[in-house]
Amino acid sequence: MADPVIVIGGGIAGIQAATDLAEMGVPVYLVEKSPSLGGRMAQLDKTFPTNDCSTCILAPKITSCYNHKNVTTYTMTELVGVEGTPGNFRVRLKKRPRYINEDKCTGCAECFEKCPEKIPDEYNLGLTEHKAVHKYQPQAVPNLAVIDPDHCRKLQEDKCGLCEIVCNFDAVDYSQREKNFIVQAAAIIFAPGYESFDGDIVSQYNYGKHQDVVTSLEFERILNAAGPTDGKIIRPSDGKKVEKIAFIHCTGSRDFSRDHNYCSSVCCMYSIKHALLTREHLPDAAVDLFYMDIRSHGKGFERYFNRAEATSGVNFIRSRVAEIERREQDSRLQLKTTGGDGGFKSEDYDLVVLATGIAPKEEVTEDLQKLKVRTNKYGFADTGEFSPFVTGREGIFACGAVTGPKDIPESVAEASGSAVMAGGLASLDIKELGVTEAPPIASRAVTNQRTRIGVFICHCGTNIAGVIDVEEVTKRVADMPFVELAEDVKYLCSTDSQKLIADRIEEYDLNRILVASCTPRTHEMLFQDAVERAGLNPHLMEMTNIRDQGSWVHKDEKEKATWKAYELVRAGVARIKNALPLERGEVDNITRALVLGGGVAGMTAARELGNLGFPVSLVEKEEFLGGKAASIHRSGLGRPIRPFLERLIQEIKENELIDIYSGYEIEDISGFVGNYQLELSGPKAVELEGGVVIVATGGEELKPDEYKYQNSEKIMTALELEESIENDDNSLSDAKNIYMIQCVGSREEDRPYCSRLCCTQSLRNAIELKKKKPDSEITILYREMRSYGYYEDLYREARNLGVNFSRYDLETKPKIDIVEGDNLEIEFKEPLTDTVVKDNPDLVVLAAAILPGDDNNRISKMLKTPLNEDEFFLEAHVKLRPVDSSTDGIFLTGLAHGPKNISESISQSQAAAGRAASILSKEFLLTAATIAEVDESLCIGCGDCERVCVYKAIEVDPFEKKAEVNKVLCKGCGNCLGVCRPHAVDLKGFKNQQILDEVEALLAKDEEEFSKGGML
Amino acid sequence: MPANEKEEFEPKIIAYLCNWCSYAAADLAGSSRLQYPTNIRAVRIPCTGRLNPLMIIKTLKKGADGILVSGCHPGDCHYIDGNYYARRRFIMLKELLEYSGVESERLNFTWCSAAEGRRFANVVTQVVDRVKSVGPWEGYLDQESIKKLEQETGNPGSTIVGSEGGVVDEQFL
Amino acid sequence: MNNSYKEITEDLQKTVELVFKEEEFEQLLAYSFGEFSGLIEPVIIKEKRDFESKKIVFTEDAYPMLSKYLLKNRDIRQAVVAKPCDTRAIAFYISENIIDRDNLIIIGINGCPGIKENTACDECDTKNPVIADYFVGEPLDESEFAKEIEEIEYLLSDETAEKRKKHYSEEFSRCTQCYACRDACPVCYCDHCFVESNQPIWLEDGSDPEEDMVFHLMRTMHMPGRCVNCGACEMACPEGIEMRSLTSHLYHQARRYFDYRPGLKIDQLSLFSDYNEEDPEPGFLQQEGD
Repeated sequence: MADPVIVIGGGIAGIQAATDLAEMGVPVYLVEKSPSLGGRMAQLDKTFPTNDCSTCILAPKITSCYNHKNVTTYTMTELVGVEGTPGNFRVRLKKRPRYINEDKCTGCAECFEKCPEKIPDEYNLGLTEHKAVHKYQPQAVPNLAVIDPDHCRKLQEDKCGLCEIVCNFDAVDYSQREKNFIVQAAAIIFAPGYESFDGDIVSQYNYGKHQDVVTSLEFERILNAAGPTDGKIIRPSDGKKVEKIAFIHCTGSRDFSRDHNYCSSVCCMYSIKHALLTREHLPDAAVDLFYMDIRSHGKGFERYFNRAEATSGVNFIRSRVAEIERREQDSRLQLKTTGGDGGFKSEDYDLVVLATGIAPKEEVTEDLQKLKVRTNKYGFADTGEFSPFVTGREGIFACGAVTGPKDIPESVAEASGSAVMAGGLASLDIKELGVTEAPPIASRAVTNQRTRIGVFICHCGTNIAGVIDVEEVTKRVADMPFVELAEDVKYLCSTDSQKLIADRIEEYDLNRILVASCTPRTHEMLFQDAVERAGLNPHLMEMTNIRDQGSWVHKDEKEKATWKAYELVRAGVARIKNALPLERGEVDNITRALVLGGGVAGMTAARELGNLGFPVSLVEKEEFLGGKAASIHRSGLGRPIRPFLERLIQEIKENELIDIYSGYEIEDISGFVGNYQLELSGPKAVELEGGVVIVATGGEELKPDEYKYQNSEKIMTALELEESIENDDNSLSDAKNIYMIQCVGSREEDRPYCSRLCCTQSLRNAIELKKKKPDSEITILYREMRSYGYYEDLYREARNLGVNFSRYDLETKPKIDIVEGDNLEIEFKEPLTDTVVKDNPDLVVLAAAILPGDDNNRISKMLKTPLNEDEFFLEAHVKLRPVDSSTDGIFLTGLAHGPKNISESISQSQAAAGRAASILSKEFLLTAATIAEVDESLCIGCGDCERVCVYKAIEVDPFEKKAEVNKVLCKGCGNCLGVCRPHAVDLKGFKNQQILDEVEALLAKDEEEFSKGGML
Repeated sequence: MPANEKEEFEPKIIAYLCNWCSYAAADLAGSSRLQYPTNIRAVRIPCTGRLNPLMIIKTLKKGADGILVSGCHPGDCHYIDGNYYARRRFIMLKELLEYSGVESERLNFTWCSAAEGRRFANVVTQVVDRVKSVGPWEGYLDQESIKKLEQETGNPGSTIVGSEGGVVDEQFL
Repeated sequence: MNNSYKEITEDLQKTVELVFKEEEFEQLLAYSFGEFSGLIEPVIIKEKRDFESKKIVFTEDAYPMLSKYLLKNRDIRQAVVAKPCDTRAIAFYISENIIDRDNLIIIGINGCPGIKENTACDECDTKNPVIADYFVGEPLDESEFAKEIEEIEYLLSDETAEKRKKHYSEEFSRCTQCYACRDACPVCYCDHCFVESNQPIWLEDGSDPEEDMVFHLMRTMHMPGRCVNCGACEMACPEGIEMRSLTSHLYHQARRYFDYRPGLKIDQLSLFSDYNEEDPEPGFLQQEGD
């Protein structure tokens, strides 16, 4: 067994890091301060740029992390201190009392109703109330109650005690005290998240004074269907309809006077999201966004911005809001803004949303001190540009918003990357790892046996039994055919009851189990484990939901609810009677990684995997390693790249586990996860195999066909300028008047994406030039200045050094002419004075777009993994699977995936290595149990299943003309069943016959009716 | 349906809910203690994409008074795009069944995210009202026409299963 | 102007002769008059001399879909006389890799004048072949038959749902589930039809007249994105049941909602194996705030 790793912070970053490590076979302690996992993301309504429902995508991830057998979760637990050394840390933790016994509480919520004390609901940011005993949020994981000691009457005044009285599980424990304990860990991943700006930053806009001024996070809750207003956008002050709404960007961000000069990177995008969602909720509302620059620099963001711009009723106004006052007469909010002409304008709104930026948490700053991790000037954890998660203290890694403002996919990628780094200290033992997921063997014979169903019906205290006549249902079900035993139990989820089920299986020789209780979404695993321990295949157990979708929603209709419960249980019996044992198949896994591309991205991924002990084959089409980075000299913040690159190349050359094939072309790739084949041509023909493929094939810089590029030596691209600066070219020494033109080839109709790194690149170049020659005149012509995150400091520095900035629009692009031999003339419109300026520059620098690699199409077809509209490789999910492709076992990084700078490429490559390691660490890959299967005698080979399968898990054999399921790739969604005309595909566990049986039983008329009197 | 409540029609509605969004929404409605009518019977499926249209034709044949199919919102599918494929099939199925005389109130398709417990409860209430408004489902055939045909011909032309087993054409009895 | 049957027949005979001269194939599917019945029927011609003895014709009675007959011998090279609707069925076969394009010699009929008593021909939107190797007759200008979706009227499209329910109840009461409609359909080619499945049982045996209707609904639900609206199903029904309005309705609705018509190209995705994120949601439940 590998050594454990501790992950501090149970938000999306912590969850991702924990899951990846657990999948590598590393035991993980996941520590969360609040009572539930989920963090900030759980508070969001939708996510940009797809408007995906946040809960929908996050909840399954939380559940699978929490239930992972290698993860131990400590909620309400804080860091006290760290001792020891890398590989052997002793982490002292403090667990606050929940006043609820975590082993006993079932989250039934019965106590909430009785509790007399109402308190503000923290999860909803105080916009609603809940009780002193409550669940942190309705879908809390773990699903447990918690008592707020500051407001509990029992704990405060020794009165009340109602929750203890009503609790049927004896779970309330007022005697709990704070508990200190120590865990041993090989490494620490610190992912505590961020907080929004507050204090005088928001009070400048009279937040807190006017109720209708809300923060963006509050607005997320308001938008949410499960939020305080059920998703209705109304004025918090009086509940009136909102007709006009304003969003104020950069509230607290890019604010030098408040020591927040950095850009929070996400507010532009979430404000655009808010604007779009507002229009969806209120199609007539007027939506105004007040902004400085729109920073839609992420993948797919520019399109999202364009969509918002084209949405009627959404207005983008480039202006600062000076102040907000509430008008007495109609209590609307009056915004005073600075206009372009320097004067003030004012406008009235019903609701104002402040795009509050990302700040380091105050308590986190303390934690960082405890960890002895140094912080940067803004209070974020300091990590290196070339080692994005490595803190100043060895063995401690930081990821997510604790190292600086960033969005969800970057946090997720960093988490996977940190997992790789931490995994390196956890002494992975690959041979041993296969064991951690070996399928248990079901000992009890089922086939060729008479079906003997055991039905267990749960009272859940009074949760179910208070509404549904459980005994009556049990009695009726007992008479059904195939039912050997029907038994009602007070609490089925209790440990005793688990044993009872096992005993009954033995006693009655049961071979199918139906559990009628709560929702399978939370409890299926528990009962599957229970029957599995009794020697029964877990898929011979099914659940019927008579609580969450029964007693809880039909409180006042006891009789009807009982009848419904009976029908549901009857249907469950009908369904389970045809259930078959399902096995998870084992498939051989080749524990070697194939890395395509020998640039920084590919080499970083190879290095990390090599360090973990996995063999790697790295393919590069050029003779040399280094890729694009070989022609770049400075990182985002201006550090020299060359030494880093040389060290990286040396490291991978020295690692015996890494085979390098430079000067080789990719001829063909085939196979699937666990078993890829790669054919190369080059000095000799080579065939390689591996379990995963990491695509790091890079991108290109556009060679512009406008602005007279290539017609004059005095016009160059930003990359070429960087080269000249580095070489101290003479040509630069004469250049006194320099113009830089941004967005050359980016953000245009035929290339509607932002190339992300050109703004910072130009700023850096301008600063370099200005420093070398302070008397030179440098003008940057830009459309939106996208110096996101810490790069805002460069923007400020450039302005302080006297670099000129002038904005242009797509309609008023600058014009370059070559006059009198080799002299340049530039003509552009200066928006502030609204005049046309003519000038004769000595040098014009074009910030050329980043293009997708010209091989992307070919490789995409070979890998059967899709590209996006701009021909970069498409990730499986823009938020939560940023480095996975939709095809299992294929991971994406670097410019192949989209424009990004070197630091971001490194971070993403470490993430790709982390995701790859979670597959490579297994000797065998296990197939899912509920997967599709084809009846070949029915299949006509039409190929519709193949066309609709996004996972490429079903294919028609071209010779046999029959569809075949790839068991490793199939996710069991059943989409192929929906289109199969001859019904040749069926889905194990959800077979056509099972569902039809279930429906038939639900609809069967029953002659005998309940008699009202006798029942309740 | 309990015997003494026959005065009011209590429809039975089969709801096919996808595991990841709509079934979760139904659970959330429960944990939020939102109340909705008992007429709904949920069938959990992995994805609306799994649902073959024949399943729904068959469900009505078996006597359901109404159908509800609810999946993840377009773009939110746990399996990336299953609900987009499902949507096309539902549209065609709805067109077919409505054309053949099934009241549109019986055929209900919608999306509920895992956060939309309230929406789910409202949808159920809405669907129950819709189905109630068109009364009990008597099958795909027009009962009046069938009666008339039976009177005219003594037999609407089909075969029945004889009491001894085996299939017997009614006109030979 | 449509070509006349006579013109087509004359051109057809010449073309087939040419095909025999130029091409190598194992059999030709065409129409001729039955030896005993004197009625038009499909013939399979394997050798040139058979061609000389059998008179190949095209008449207003040429309703059988010769495309369907191709499916019986998928692995040999066949020539076929194809009405425009046949060519769409053939394009569909190729799109599903059921038949290899190289195994087909398609003699397509331009400006098809239609088939007698086939109501589908009144709605026809493809009067020239979509794919063919040899063409017979003059092509018809698209403006003469192409219609906007709004202009198309089809069977029962003006009726109320109640009327249609009555109509189908009466019509399907005559159904004996002989499956002639299925067997005549050029795009129905499963080896085992759902009606014969007993695990699960989609269609029950025996007593229930409603099952006849269920059969037709299920059959129709297998049709969207495949039915080329040729009318063969109805022409084949021995009971004269009017069932084509169901498939026809879906044919036109698929065009309306998704701008989709099957069998127009050989690399077309089927209706249900494709989607558009912007697909409409007619009649989907809405809630306040949606």
